[in-house]
Amino acid sequence: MTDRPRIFLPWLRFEQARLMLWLALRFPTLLLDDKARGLEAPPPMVLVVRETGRSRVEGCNQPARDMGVCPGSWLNSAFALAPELVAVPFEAHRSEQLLTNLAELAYGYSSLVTLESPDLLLLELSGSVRLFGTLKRLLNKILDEFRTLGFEVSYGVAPTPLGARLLAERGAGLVATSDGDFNQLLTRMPLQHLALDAAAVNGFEKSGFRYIGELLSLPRGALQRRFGAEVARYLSRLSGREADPRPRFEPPQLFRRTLDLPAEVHATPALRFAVGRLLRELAGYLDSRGLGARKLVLGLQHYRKPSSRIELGFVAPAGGFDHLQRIVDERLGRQQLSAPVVGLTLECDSMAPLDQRQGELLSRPGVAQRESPEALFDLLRSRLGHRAVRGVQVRPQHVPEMASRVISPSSGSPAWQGPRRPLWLLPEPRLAVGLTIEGEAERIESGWWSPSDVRRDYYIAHNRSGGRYWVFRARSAPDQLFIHGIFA
Amino acid sequence: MRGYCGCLIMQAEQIESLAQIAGVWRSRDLPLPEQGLPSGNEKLDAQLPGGGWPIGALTELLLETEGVGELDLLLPAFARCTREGAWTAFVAPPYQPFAPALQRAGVNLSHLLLVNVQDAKDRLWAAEQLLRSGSFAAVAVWPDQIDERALRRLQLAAERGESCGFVWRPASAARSASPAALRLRISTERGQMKLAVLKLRGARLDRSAAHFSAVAAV
Repeated sequence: MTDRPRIFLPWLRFEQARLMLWLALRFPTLLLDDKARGLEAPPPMVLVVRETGRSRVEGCNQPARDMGVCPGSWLNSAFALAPELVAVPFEAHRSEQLLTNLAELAYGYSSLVTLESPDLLLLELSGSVRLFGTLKRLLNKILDEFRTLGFEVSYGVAPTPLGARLLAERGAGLVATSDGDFNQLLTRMPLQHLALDAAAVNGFEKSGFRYIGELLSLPRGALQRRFGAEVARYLSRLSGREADPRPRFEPPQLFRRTLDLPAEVHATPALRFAVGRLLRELAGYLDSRGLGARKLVLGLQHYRKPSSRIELGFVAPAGGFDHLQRIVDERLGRQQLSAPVVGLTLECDSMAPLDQRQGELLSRPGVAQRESPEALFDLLRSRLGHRAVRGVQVRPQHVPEMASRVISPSSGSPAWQGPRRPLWLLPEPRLAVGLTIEGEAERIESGWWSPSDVRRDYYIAHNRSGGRYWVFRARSAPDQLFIHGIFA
Repeated sequence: MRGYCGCLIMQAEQIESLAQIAGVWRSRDLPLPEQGLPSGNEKLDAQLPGGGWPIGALTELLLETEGVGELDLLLPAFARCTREGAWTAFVAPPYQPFAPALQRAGVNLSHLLLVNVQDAKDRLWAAEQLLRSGSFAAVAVWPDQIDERALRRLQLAAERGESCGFVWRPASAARSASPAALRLRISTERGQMKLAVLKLRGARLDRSAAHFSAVAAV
């Protein structure tokens, strides 16, 4: 092979400057990773398909590979290698759904994302690189994001979608940012890596070709004549000579994720890790859209029992993993599990643009971190219940028990002008004993239009130790004195 | 050295290494000037080093008997904060606050939060969250029971959030140790409120002036 002339690809090198840069992300163990996500250390797992009455291993995760299991073998022999192996049947529908979920995350890094079933995402990155500084930094961030969620991912970067896909399937993390680099990589890449069927690859081999680079040097007309239009188009698109338009992924405005727990969970602290993974996904989803959640529903699935729902409302749109997790943690801490939990769902269908002014802008140097009051209300409510977090408001009413109202915080209040009133009001007037009345009576009556019939004479009174009280005599029972308030 | 530090733009590592040299101060190491939240009571402010309730610290209010104008003592400070748009809170007040009286005292009710909570632990938890958040200027809590450790947590939270924390306790608690920056006993004498400064961090108490009648300002 050394005597073969050096391949020169003039149309690739000197073609008009193309700006596209594609990242292919491949999730080789998508379904397995999904099942193991609730676990910190996943067990060996294999994906199986039924084939002529037997189960064949289609894919395996790292722990299974470590034990010598490899794709293509029969399930029986895999069990022989790893007795504790968990076999997961392939479900096309679930795989599709997972890939869509991941596409939503990827959407945070590129506005041009396309899905390639069953396990591949393509992202156009040329615009995003500038935003993140360097391609390396961007790549690390993207890969980190998916790995933190518990998904194994391999990748490739190339100037064409098919090129990126080809490099990702090689699985070695190959990056070609220019046509020159890409061609260099293809020059000595065996034909088997082409996404073409075995017959086409066979045909090439019979004609004496061994490397992908050799095919790319052939004129398209000749390729089409010898190997058919399909093959010729694939190779043109791979090298970028022909445009390769793809449907754009459009993210939905609804977030819904499920997570199956590998074992029954009996206490809420054990749910924390799994819930955290869902929340991290939600935070990424929200962040990529500049949105915050207004309401969350966490569903706890039980075995053969209706699932429990935990609803969390937010005063202001909430985002950010730490904030969400803190709120959910507090709420979960109060939750009594009615039955063991076997699965989780997290739903968010009410979102609103996040107020960008919150966060760092308000922080002062001395204060470690400033939280918005609204975020705090959410936190308090999540632990103490909705009714615990209130404000108070004046109502234009004569009758004291009607003149003050407990409402949601920061509602504002109408003005009040009048004589001195006690700061504490008792929930129920109580009989006064041993008080000395000072000063004149103030008569308070409900209007004739009011359903309550209140006619009272109010006084200020004190006890022997100096405490001052607001007391009244009802005109219907003038010999009884009631305490209604305390001048605290 | 300190003279030209401010004119240079340096990397964080350089600043770190500079900080190792004796005599180089960073602004964050400098003691903050003592400042207080004016209590609205001249006699009391005169006693306090920052001219008011200590900010970024805990104040303990030890009450002998209720109904002596004890909450009135706090309200000028709460009124000032809320009118300036800062948030304030009452955590687990013993009775429902009466809105007309609060408003008469000048409190902007849209910035007063009420946390109605029964459980003793939850009361302290809520107060701690509010104090440390940095977005609440003043927080008053009526704990059911509180020990020195819990007080220390609240004191740290107030420091972190640069907030004024007020803890109401019965006068009988005066005997136990406390990390609060200020301890004030509220009692009555012939129907008038009397205040006694039991502890004031960072100040030598003038015993003769520490007891005074506060009723004139209320």
